[in-house]
Amino acid sequence: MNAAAANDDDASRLVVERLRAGPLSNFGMRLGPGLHVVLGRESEGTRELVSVVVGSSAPRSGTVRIAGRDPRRSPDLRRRVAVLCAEELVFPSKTVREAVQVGLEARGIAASAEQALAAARLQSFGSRNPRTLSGGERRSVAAAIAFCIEKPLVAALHEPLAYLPGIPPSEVTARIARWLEQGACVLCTTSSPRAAHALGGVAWLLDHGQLVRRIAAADAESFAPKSAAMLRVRTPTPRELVARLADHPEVSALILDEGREPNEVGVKGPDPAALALAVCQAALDNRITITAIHPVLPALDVTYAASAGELRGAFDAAYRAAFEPHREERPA
Amino acid sequence: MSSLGLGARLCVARLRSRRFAVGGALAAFAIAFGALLERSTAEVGAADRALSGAAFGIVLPLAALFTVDLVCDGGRLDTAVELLARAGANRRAAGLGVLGVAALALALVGLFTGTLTILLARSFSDPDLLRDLLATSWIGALSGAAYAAWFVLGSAVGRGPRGRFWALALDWLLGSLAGPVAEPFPRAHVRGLLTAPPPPGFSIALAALLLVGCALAYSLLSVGRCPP
Repeated sequence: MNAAAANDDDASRLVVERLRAGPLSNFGMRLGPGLHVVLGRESEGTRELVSVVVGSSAPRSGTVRIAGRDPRRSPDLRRRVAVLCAEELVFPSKTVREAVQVGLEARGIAASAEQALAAARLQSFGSRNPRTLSGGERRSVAAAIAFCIEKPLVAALHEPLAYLPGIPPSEVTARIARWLEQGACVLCTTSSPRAAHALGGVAWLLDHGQLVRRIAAADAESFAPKSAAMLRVRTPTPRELVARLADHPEVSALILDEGREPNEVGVKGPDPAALALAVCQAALDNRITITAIHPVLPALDVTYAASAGELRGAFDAAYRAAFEPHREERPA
Repeated sequence: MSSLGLGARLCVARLRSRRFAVGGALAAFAIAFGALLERSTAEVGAADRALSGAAFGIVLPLAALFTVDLVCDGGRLDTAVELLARAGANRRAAGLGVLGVAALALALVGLFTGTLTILLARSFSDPDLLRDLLATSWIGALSGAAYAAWFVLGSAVGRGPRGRFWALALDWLLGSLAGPVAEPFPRAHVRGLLTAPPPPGFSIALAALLLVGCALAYSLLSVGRCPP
């Protein structure tokens, strides 16, 4: 199954058709301006997807088009694509500052290396030798250059909220927000439901080389629908909260590990809204102070399992609809 | 900055490494050893034997392989300029920039190789010393540049660095043969310029022109294999 853009009327800024690259098999997507998150394990092809979309590697077959052109064969187009790949390269100059300057000049960006590094909070990298950078630090330097691109057509970012030493996630999300205001198509790939939730937008689950399910990333429940929800509640009196919630019908489990998180209680139940209401009601009724309450996102494996469950459920329903009415019609 | 300039700048940055300096020192040692060994064996013809043997037969091709491997960062030509391509540079132009600087560097290596060999294989009182130095200098420079183009072509085929090693093997095996089968390979033309008497109607100038033509052909083929 290939997923289409949320709104088919949008101009198709980024079109991928029948792509075969790494684990991606007959992969397709059509994305317009906006934020699009592909959630999946790296073994499913998230790094290959970014690499092919920005023209860095050639697919075995299939096509990639950005604004109607092939990024692999169009240097002008690549200049308007902001990229952050899984593995990044840094110009082998004497200092990172010089390497960044070359990167900016290559893209025709007027900003100075100092400005680029300062904007990404990487001033301390400037005087270092690029050969001493770790893989994550090379990504950070590449991100600093990418963030200087104004009005990109497409931004393709692999794990934008992870493996970027020195760059706070808030800087990344602020830059993405600015690109979105400028009308860019931003494609992010990640293997973390938490990162997908933090990015927001529309998320697609990548499974066996294809996009199989759409997830409203801002809604924690949509990652694994019909699974037990869990809330983390911070309170100075966790034992009292546990005692008050122990017999509540909406609460199926309570988790308190005073060794690891002394002021935090995990609360599980089938309905997240009812769960939150139960916690707040218990706190109000018993004058228990709550300092924070937030949903716990399911692990990626749980998200995959929920997706498989949904697909199985859809198959079963279709099977019943196709065959069981005929069984009932047979004469006795 | 143009893609060509960026490629050239990238090549210079990669050559400015300790590995290149160490490789150069080892090459100089090998050249000196070969020249002095030939001279100690028999002074007559020592320069010719040293040039066609150790210097241009072994050291120069290996130095060219090593240098091209360094400027291609151990991989293919298109992956060598990928960091520029991601920034919007044209891979072909950047590859040409890399090739140009590599050819210049290896021309200097070839010039140095020939000069050092002659200086060590001949005595300073030899009346042919200066003539030999001048002749060997341009032959060495041209040979170095041709080998650069040859190994850059090898870098544009196959997976990873394998193409370069195939280029070395083919040059050594087939370039050493006589006849037309050796023509595509730089070794045949370098040998022809150095020691082998040219066939009737075939001048040194023509041999040099053929080597230049081969180098240009290698260059065009290698950048042609890169996507833009």
